[in-house]
Amino acid sequence: MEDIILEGKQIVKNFALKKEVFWEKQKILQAVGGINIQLRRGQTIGIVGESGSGKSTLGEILGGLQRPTSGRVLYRGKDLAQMNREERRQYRRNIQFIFQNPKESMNPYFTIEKILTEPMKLLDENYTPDYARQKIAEILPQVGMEPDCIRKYPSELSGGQCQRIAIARALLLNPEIIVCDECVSALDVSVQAQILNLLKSLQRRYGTSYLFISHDMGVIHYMSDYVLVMVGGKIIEQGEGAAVMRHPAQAYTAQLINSSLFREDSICAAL
Amino acid sequence: MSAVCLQLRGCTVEDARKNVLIHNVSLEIGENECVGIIGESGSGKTMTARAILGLLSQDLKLDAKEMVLDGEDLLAMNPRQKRDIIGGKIGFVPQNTVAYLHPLIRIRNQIADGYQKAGRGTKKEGEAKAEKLLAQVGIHDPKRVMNSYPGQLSGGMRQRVNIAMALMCDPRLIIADEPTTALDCIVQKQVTELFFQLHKQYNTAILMISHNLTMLKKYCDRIIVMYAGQIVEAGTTQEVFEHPRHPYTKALIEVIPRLDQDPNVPLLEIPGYVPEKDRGRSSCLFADRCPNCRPQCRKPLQINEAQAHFSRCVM
Repeated sequence: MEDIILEGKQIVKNFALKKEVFWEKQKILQAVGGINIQLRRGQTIGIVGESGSGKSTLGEILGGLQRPTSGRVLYRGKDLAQMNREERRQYRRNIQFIFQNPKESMNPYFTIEKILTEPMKLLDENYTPDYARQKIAEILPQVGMEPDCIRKYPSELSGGQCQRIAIARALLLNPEIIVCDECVSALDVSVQAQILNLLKSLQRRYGTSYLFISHDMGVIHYMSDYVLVMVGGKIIEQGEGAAVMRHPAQAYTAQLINSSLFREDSICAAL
Repeated sequence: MSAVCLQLRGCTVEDARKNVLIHNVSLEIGENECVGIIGESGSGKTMTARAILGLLSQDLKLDAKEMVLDGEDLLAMNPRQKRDIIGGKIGFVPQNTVAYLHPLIRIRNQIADGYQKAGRGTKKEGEAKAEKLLAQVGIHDPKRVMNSYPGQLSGGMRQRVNIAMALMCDPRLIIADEPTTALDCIVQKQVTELFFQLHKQYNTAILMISHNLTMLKKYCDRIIVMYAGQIVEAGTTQEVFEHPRHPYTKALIEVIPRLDQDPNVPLLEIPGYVPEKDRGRSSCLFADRCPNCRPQCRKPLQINEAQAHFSRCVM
């Protein structure tokens, strides 16, 4: 299909565990076990699962931060492993990350301006200092930040403000795909709503695709068109967002939904 | 024996520059009652808990009209007596499980510290009790956990150790400061269930601080909503959730994405930020962010403090 921009085929990722004694056989932890995934333009895929289920590893492999042990990642039909330098640059530019902890993903000794300029310097061919300044001035109001925050350091901003800067940084390169790895888990509920609304409105405007990783079922339901449920590196259930949430086919999915709601039946009617 | 476990009245905390951090907070926790505090970060929830525990940092000034724990007036005591009383009667479960356990000391050697300090028994007895409690909070091999360093345990395990630690002195009251925020949702549910199972078993009162409304709704008897260092609404869980009176409470309930939410409708936002300055003023603190703010909200509010379902709003 034409509009599939990112595809993972049979992705496997193994990690070697530390040996207790040296003659022991090497033990292997399979973090991701043969996953197929297709992301279309303007689509949001939600990945849920408990911690340790391999959702972040999958996101990092698709985003090119880790290499899969076996399997292929195709960006616009091209294999990541066989890309030349220029193609790889294009790919890097078009896929961006928003991490769980925005403060840890920023250099504490850089000002916000430098944090925002850095990726453009490396990846944007139109880069000039003036161009960067202009882009930053354009993007900050969109994420709800004052323009004069560029002289501040990450430590001077609150968690929610830092997350907005992280989103601005991801958006500056006009990426096609953004991998949101638990990007609202650390935020307050009121800030969470603002960030989610922001991501949605940007998707409508620019047609960005999201890979949305979270363990909050409410957030996943609100954001995703398509949901994958992962346990132990495997997909146990997938389908249209609303369908999975309303009628989970697997007991595990139901358990996940119930425990995020703290009750046996559905909360929706009452709250 | 009074039926009130903790009575706090008119508690105000100021920093060295006279900025009010929490203003005139009054709360009452009955015996065997479970009270939840909700609010955004920066609304003074943790500060209130710390004020009760006497864990405020040195440069903050605490001023309260009344602070009675289990029939004993904490304000009249010197710090040392206060520490003994608090150590024996209140169990504290912190949010940050990493920072609360000493990373270089085995669990065995730190779990019974409070127990010994409160003069409940020797280290041996403490360890025996700790093992029993660890088993009770759902750890399958207490012996191994006792001999581990905190870094060798997962987040859920460490939180269980913290809960066991809080239970060591058979407290009258457990103060849990966002005990599940760092955990994923299945462990979160297990830990919360554990709390309330212990609450039933030992008849301990619980003060639960969280921003997970769904969780508090299910487990708490009463809910206190805090905003910018003040209590804006307080009432039974049913009253607060079904008929919220303060616009802030209504907004808090609205902003959470639910499963019946239409994904095409934007979530409600609370614009602006929690005010940092001038929290002691008597006009409404939420006025700048309130959707139905009227001119009278800018004037000092006339609030009846004695209403059963308290709301700091004139509407």
